[in-house]
Amino acid sequence: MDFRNDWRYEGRMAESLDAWFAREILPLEAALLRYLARTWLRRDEIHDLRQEIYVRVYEAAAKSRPLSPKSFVFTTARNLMTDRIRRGRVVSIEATADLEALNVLVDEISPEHRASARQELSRLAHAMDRLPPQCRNVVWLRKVEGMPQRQVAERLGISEGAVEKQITKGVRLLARALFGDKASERGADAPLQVQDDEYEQQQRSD
Amino acid sequence: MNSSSAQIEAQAAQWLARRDSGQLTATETAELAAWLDASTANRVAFIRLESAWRQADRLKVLGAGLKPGELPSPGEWRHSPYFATRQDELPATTTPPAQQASRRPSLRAITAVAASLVLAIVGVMAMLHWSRGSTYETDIGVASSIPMPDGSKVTLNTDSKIRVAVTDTERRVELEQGEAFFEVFKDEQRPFVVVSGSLRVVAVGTKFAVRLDADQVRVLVSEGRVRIEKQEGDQKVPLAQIASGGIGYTRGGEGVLTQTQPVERVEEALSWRTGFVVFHETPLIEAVQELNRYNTRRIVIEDPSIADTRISGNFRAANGDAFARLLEDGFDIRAEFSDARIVLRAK
Repeated sequence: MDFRNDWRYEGRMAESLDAWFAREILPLEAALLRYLARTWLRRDEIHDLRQEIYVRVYEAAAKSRPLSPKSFVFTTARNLMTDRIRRGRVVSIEATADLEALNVLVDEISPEHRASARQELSRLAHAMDRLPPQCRNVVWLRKVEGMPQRQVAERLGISEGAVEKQITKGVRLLARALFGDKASERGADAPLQVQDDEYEQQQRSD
Repeated sequence: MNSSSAQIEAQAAQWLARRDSGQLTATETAELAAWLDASTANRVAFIRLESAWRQADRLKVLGAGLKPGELPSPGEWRHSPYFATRQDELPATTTPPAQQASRRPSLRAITAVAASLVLAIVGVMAMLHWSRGSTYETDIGVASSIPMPDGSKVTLNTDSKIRVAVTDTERRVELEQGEAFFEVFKDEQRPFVVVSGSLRVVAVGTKFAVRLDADQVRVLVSEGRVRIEKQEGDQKVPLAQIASGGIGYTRGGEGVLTQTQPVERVEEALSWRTGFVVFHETPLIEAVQELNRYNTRRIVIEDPSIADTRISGNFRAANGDAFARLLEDGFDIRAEFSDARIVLRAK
């Protein structure tokens, strides 16, 4: 852990809920996704589950912050999956058969509390090189060079709207690389892609 | 029906990119606020992307050594001085690196960022040479976890240094500087020994920390039991047994002072593992000494009248700034910030 250049710098006393969420919950995402991938066989629902877990955790924390964010996140995950199975929204035999797996020890799955800042930097840097070329150029100029979007547009000879679009894409890919589970991706060197199409298709087929 | 999580994420990304342009109109600002308030799902999606986007500011270091405005092709930035090697991105399963690389690099010579990166590399590589004895060290403000091949785990606190050697009969860690926390995998055949000078702290399967401050050695046990011994020639003289919740102090092994605390207190004293220090009615002067272990910018008390002010709370260990600001908020204390130090005075 390297706390020196950490934007999360804040005494615990006066911390907003949003900052708390970013500091305590987001670093657990990789472990959470591994847990979900192990226990929930319908891969296409994992993004959705993750989101719903975040919603529940955020709303509960608005009332009172859990003392142990990690066990709270995993308990929420387990409850959510159990609820879904009980409500019969999932009829998949595989999913119910794996109900036992919901009780695996959390510590077994997430031995590390959070990635160190250097691991995060290394992940970001690596993710940077796997962005689609134009997206990478835009993110590079915006983040490494610190150019405003307008200037990025001039430098690359594209419209400001196009820059904004690339950032829309880039931020999602960087978030996934930073918080998400590296190991579960198709290959550590595979180019990153936004998977809207997949999700939309699933939506339609549901 | 709710929109899917992927659609929400896409909308959040659009809002974030729009705001990032710095050209949000007043109407759009209000629309964004309304969108965030419309559902928690929207809000958490936005917080997540915003956090990633902000952290991406760290990518600035990649530009070191390149001309402004230059767009390097993928991989090219690694020639910048911050990425002296490409090892950092290789998983530990690739070809073992040259052995010399596992030896200590001159960490102090390079910048903080580079240092932490190199440290990560050394961590991975040194593991491969574990049995031959390896050195690990951390810079000020950095803590680092090192898994050991026997299943134990060592967490190094700020500005600390250990040397590790595992043989068939003993798992031996020499604490040369600073503090380390040990989670010992139970192995009756090979006791786990932390050595500091002639002092030996022996554990079988337990969790404990050893801290070295000048010539004082402090042992905190959060689980199980450890034995403190003194090495005298070939003899190992037992000095004390410390059970969970116990803290043992000794200077040079001339007797051990032990103290029993509730286990939670010992756990608090080990909060550095998650980056925090915890104080309970601690005199300011002691709190400042503790904070200074983690910060290169020293905090200095220039006014003896405030030295005994009692402080309680959790603080980010490596954030002396925030600590000083909180003092200003809560007490009649004024902080002056300069590059080298933070000076505290009475208001």
